[in-house]
Amino acid sequence: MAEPLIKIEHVNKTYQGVSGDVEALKDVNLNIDENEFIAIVGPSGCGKTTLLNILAGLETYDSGSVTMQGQPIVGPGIDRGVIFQQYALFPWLTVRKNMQFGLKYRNYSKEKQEQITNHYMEMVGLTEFANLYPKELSGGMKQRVAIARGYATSPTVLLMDEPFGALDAQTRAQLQEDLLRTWETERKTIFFITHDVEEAVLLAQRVVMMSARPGRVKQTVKVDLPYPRNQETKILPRFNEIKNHIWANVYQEYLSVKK
Amino acid sequence: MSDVAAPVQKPRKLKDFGEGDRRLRNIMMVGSLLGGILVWYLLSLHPIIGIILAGPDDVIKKGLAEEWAAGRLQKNILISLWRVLAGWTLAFLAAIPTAFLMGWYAKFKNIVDPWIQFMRTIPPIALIPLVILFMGIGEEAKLTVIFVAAFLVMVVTIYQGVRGIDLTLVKAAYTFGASDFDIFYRVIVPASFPFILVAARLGISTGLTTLIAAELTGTIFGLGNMIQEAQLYFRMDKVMLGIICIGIIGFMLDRLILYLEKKLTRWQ
Repeated sequence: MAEPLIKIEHVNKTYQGVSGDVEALKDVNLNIDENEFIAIVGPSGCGKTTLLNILAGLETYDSGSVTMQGQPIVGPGIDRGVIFQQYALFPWLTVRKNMQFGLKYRNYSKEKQEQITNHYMEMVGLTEFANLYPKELSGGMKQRVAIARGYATSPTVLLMDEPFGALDAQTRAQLQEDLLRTWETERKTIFFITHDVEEAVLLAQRVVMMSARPGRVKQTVKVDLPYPRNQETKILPRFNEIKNHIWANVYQEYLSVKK
Repeated sequence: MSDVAAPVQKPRKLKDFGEGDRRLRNIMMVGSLLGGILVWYLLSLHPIIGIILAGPDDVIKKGLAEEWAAGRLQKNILISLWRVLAGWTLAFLAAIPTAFLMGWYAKFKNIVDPWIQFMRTIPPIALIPLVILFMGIGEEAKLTVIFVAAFLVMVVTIYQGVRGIDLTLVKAAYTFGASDFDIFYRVIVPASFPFILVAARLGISTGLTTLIAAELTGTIFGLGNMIQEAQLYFRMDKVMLGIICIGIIGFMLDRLILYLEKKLTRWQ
């Protein structure tokens, strides 16, 4: 067995609030392999975004260890790209300039930067929108730019925080397929957060269920459906079997949160 | 027999808070101005009101003609404009770094903010005795009064812009490998740029409204002084002339910055 790319061991995180402390993560253990597509599901408040932020180096943790390629994660870095639910495009930059924001921190020549930008803009069908500002794009287009921008800096792992959560059903289905195509060709490690069980099963090789308050890993399910996948994968009996199994578990968590 | 549609109740038009047809809007706005001037003229014809209120014809034929011919109006406009612009420019140059420092360093903000909040509510006119005492009655005194008023307005506005920044953008920049300095000049500065322009506009109008107060520190030139002097001699035509000149200058400066705003922040 090869060493996992990312190791999360006994991680604890408590938020100090005015109305008392909140245990966001409790003894979280998780390994992520190189080239793996892993999805995290769980009710809101289960600490999945906290976990992503810790991996991104955007948040601290109280105890335990988080390492990537053997090195502890102590802050943000270009080896980890983040895709946010709210796109996080810089509104004062055009699509092209947004794509190039992170390339400045790679030691690429101007030509190489242009070449990479053009390649990824073409990949997500953005070429004709290169000189538009984000406000001129639809939600789906914005997220396409954000994903292309995430790929452009070629991080080792992409951390996605409910990237399709704000999109309508059709756009979401389309972007799911686009992401599948990209992953099937590039096999870049993806850590994908969602509250949509169906989305998790459709995309990921492995689905991690988290429980709420305190957030901990409840169960991990391998999705043994073959790639390439697409929206029709949802018809397969095995797909529904896995989905229902996960859903039943997650639903319990929703109920416990409600109480 | 053809079917005759039963009379249907016309659907109610709901308020949509739109500005309406553009051409109609322009006609109405120009009409409003012309109508106002007409009312002003008619009021000035009234035997009693007319004594106090000089009509538009008087303002042009007496006030404007006299002041222009003597070269005083041109000089007064230039001097007042210079005072406002100079005071405003200094205030602008000081407000930008102050607001950014307040946004960047919480400690700096905690020290500076109480003073800004305290000073903000004091009318500039109340500062005049102090200003005269410390700066005398020269140009520095006028600039100081305008500077203080414009600075306070601008610093508060720009600071709000820096504070209101979308933290997701900051996070995104960090994940691309940006340093703290990069966060400042690649994210904070462009993100607060629209607020800087809004502040510039507010600062100009504050500068103009403070002009009269500034010129109370003793001067023989300037539009504010012209109004005060005309008041002494009960030349209401010149008082009105001064008021109108300040209004027109303010309007033009405001439009100029608004135009720049549209040009420079097309992305908004």
